[in-house]
Amino acid sequence: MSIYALGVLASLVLYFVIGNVVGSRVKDTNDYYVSGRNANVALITGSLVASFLGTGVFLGDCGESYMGFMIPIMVVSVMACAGYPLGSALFGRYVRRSEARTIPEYFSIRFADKKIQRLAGVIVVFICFVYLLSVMDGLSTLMAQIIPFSREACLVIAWVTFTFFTVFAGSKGVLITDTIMFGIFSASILVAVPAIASAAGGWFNGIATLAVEDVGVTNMLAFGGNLEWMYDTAWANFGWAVSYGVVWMLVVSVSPWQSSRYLMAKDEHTVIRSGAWACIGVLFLNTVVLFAPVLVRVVNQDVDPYSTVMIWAAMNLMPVAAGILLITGIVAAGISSASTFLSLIGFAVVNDITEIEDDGKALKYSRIAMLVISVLVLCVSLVKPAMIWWMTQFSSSVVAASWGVVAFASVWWKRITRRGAFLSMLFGFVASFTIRLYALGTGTTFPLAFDPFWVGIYGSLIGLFIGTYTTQVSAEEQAQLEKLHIVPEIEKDADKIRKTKRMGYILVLAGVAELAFLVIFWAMPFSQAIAG
Amino acid sequence: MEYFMSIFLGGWMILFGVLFVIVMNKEFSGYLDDKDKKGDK
Repeated sequence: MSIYALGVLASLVLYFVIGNVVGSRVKDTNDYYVSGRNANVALITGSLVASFLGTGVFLGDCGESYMGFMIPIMVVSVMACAGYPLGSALFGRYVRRSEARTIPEYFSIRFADKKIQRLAGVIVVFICFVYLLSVMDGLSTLMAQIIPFSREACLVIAWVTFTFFTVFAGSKGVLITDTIMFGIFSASILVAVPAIASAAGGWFNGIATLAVEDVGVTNMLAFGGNLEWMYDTAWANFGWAVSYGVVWMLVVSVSPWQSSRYLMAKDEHTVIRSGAWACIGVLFLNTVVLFAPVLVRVVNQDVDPYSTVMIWAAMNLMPVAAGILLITGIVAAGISSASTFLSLIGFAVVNDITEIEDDGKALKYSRIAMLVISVLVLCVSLVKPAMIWWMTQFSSSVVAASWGVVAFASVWWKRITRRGAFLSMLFGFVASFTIRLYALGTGTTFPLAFDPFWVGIYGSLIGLFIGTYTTQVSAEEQAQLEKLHIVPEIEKDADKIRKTKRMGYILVLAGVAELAFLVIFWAMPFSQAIAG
Repeated sequence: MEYFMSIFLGGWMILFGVLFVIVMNKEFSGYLDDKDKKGDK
């Protein structure tokens, strides 16, 4: 067995042990669902980033970048980052204030209606199931490259690691392992990118080579990306990227695997600051990591399958220790996402779709539900082909279309009624899901205005207006909305307010740093190379 | 176009940073002023 395989297996044992040790401290459903609601900024930030950056980025996005679609992917990633300050300040802090244990439960409290909680719970189960399948694909693809076992055996090893600590420890275990994994894959990116750039002859030489020489793909680092990959004009690719940037911004703002992290924060300032730090973390890590697969093309144009480009780089272009760190980091990103999705499915089944009043029983049934669904995910993963990137896009656009409008309207639109919220969520889900399924099944690429996400948003808005303007806001809904806008005394601490306000200026600085980085390390060397 | 893209992406983050500052100032300035006045007394 190679040293890379031993490194990965050792890291899996570590997560397994830590998760299970933490699990022994879980006393009730409050610990299990929202980690006792006392998590600090570091833990929430770590979990936000770890849940977002999974195998979809390291295998899916990096693979697409290797095939020449890096710039459109980077547009999507950077635009998505804005979802953190947006979601934490305008949705997350209110979700935290509601003291719900899950996001579907928040909708139930806000609209004084159990029906919407059930619908939201079903959407969570469906979306997280598909997303979990995508993460399992990524993990097995990755592990089968480095461990001398079959893809099926690798699937089972990965599954055992995240399933048992997630089932046992719930959110308490997921928060801590997520934060550790965030540290590991951040370190791996910081080590990997300079090492890969060095193998490509240095950063600036690599960029110049990609700009002017034949590397097997045209327009490798140009504005619109490879014109043979998706749309055949640069502006159409840019339009797609902006459209999906909005999708992912909504996903980051309101998706259950992101906004549910805020429920565990110790106060609302922790929610807002964590959102801002997660924005900076994802902005920096995502921008830098996408250059790595592009630079690999200078050295090798034939990595197959292309989604394994980062694994190839770890094993062939980097010092052994750095390669182990990168592969362990990618596995960590996958495991952390998988544990979050699995925990959300378990919580939704027991807390949102069914009604179990007894705390002890709810804890027990949550664990059983999680285990059963995890076995189901494993069985489906074993028989279906791998489709990492498209499955990630599928679930993200469906959740953004069905929840995006309702989430913000629930906090900021006084006129919205429970029927409007219900129909908005239902129409958005059905419209985006059916169109997306048709597109995937027939291989159809729709014009941007009729992309499954936008069709879902149209459906969601139609449902919202039909439902809202055919009913009146009830006294209960009115009272819940008013309660939601009363700032708790604990949040009025002057020191905490100053620290939170300071985050805005740090975000502006991060934007300036991003601009400077792109000009100095991409636009300038690329344009100079083209100009000769 | 590469410079345009750099400005677009950097500007996008700067825009949201500025919006964040505005929203936070609006949301919290009342409480901060009240606390400071109390502290002065």
